[in-house]
Amino acid sequence: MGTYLLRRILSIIPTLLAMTLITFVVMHSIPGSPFDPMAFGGNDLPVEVIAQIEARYGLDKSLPEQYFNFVIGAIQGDFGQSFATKSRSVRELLSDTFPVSLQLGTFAFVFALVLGVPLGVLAAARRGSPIDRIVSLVTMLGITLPSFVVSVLLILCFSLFLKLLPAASVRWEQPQAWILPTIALGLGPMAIFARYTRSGMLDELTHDYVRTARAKGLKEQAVLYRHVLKAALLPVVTVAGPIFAGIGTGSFLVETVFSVPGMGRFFVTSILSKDYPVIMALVLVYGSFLAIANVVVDLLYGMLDPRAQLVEHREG
Amino acid sequence: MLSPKRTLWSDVARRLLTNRVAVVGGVFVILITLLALCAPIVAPRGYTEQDYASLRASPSATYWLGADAAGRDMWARIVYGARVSLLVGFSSQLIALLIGVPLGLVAGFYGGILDSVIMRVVDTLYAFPTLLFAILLMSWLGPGLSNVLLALSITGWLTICRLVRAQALSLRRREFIEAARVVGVPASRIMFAHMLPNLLSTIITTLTFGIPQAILAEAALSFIGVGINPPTPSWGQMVSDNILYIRSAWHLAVFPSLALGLTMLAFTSLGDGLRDAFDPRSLR
Repeated sequence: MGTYLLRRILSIIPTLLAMTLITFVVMHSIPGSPFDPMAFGGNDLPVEVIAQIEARYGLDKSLPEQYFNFVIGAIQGDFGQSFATKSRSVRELLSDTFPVSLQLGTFAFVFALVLGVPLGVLAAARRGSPIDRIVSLVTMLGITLPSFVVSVLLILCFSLFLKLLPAASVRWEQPQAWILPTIALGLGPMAIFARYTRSGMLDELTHDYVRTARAKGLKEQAVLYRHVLKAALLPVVTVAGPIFAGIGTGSFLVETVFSVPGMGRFFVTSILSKDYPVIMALVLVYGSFLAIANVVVDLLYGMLDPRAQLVEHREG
Repeated sequence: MLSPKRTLWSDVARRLLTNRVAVVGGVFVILITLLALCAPIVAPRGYTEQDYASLRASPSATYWLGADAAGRDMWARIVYGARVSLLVGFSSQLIALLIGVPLGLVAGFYGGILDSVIMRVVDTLYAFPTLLFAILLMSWLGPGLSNVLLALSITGWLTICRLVRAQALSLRRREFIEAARVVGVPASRIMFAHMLPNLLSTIITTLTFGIPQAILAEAALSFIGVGINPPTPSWGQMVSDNILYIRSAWHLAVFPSLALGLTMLAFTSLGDGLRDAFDPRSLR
């Protein structure tokens, strides 16, 4: 267990290095310097001035040197200066936007769990009823419809027709700005939770212990909620981890549609303005969040289900 | 030679046709494919023609779905946008088929070092957040249809490769494969003539589910501005362009969203139906 844990944690490092290296190579082979005077919207600066600016941001050094400096800096939490927002360091920008995305992601996750599991239970308890059919329709829609399509439909319904909620969430300090992005991001995961809960319950219901519980005269409610649900939630927990890893840091699509001042929207604008330091930092943040979350999930799962063997897959 | 007996395929077709949701999905897929193929006929106005008298026009007899902020026919843009979506959906899966299936077969059949090398590559690429990776590549390659395909294909073959390998591993130990080996059937023939037919249901189902995923990825790339080159219409790019006008002309952002949502729904329900038809035990 101890060596497994250590190996699993160490395995994150090459993944992250590969991720940053690829990002670095890709970013630096994009034609055009971020300070190119000929570029669209570029300033008509003399060559010496450009050389000076590039030296200021360390762009005059050789590429391996720049990458090495980035890795050393990143370990210390220093990602350099943003090119686009000149006066601020990447770290400051990240500490502004990361909490917003994390909050949105956490809300969406909680929303999905709190709504999805009861829906799944309800559908399984009344199998074949209209409720079951409605739940399966909702889960089908939730799993299939992309988050930004859901976003547009939510804006149409709640902002334009019902005029209940703001269409844009620029002012993130207002709680009503949280609602629509949370639903848009959480609907898909909610559907997945509902589906897993339902099929988990139906699966458990075929076991012998359920017949025993019923035979000893236990009420159906008690059978469902005290016995079956507990066992049925195991597969739900298994998918919950990767889902949190996936949406925990928000989503650039949802954030862009609603103008949420989070990391995702920031990522999109940075890509478009070739803000290398910001892009590198964001890739690292997204990548490490995902990698760490996956390790945590593996460990949690090992604790929850003693049957799960903590060995790496070999064959099949 | 042909017997009217029940075959796997006739069984699959029969079960698929009794699945109402899957049939509706399939019909929608055929419909939208026909629309995309016949785009110049069903939308004669073209997707670039501007009508300055109808900027942001509401749906009418001339403009069935209205006109966008540049006075371009929304119906034409949606129909031509379907071409992009379907082209990306189908060809990305074709590429996944051509790369992922042979590699998975070879890895599973031979095992050993070859398997380790292939799976190491697969696992490394798998650790990358797919969309993040595609965005990075697109900002390097520049926008355009072929680049979108390239960016999506680099990670697009991983899932099917893994599934095919896992199944090939278990097939390898079955008697009929061993028998084929014993009588000296060449390895390539064992893989493609003996193993492949047993993998068809997995491959078909996985690829059908892959189509909406690729369509979504293209829409997402175009949505953030690193996908298809304007003026070629793409649904994702139309949503992001028109979301600005959601207050004054909501239909401009909603129609392409609906087109995307319905298309994904259709492919997914078809995929669900195919999976159930291939494996009746999975019916719940």
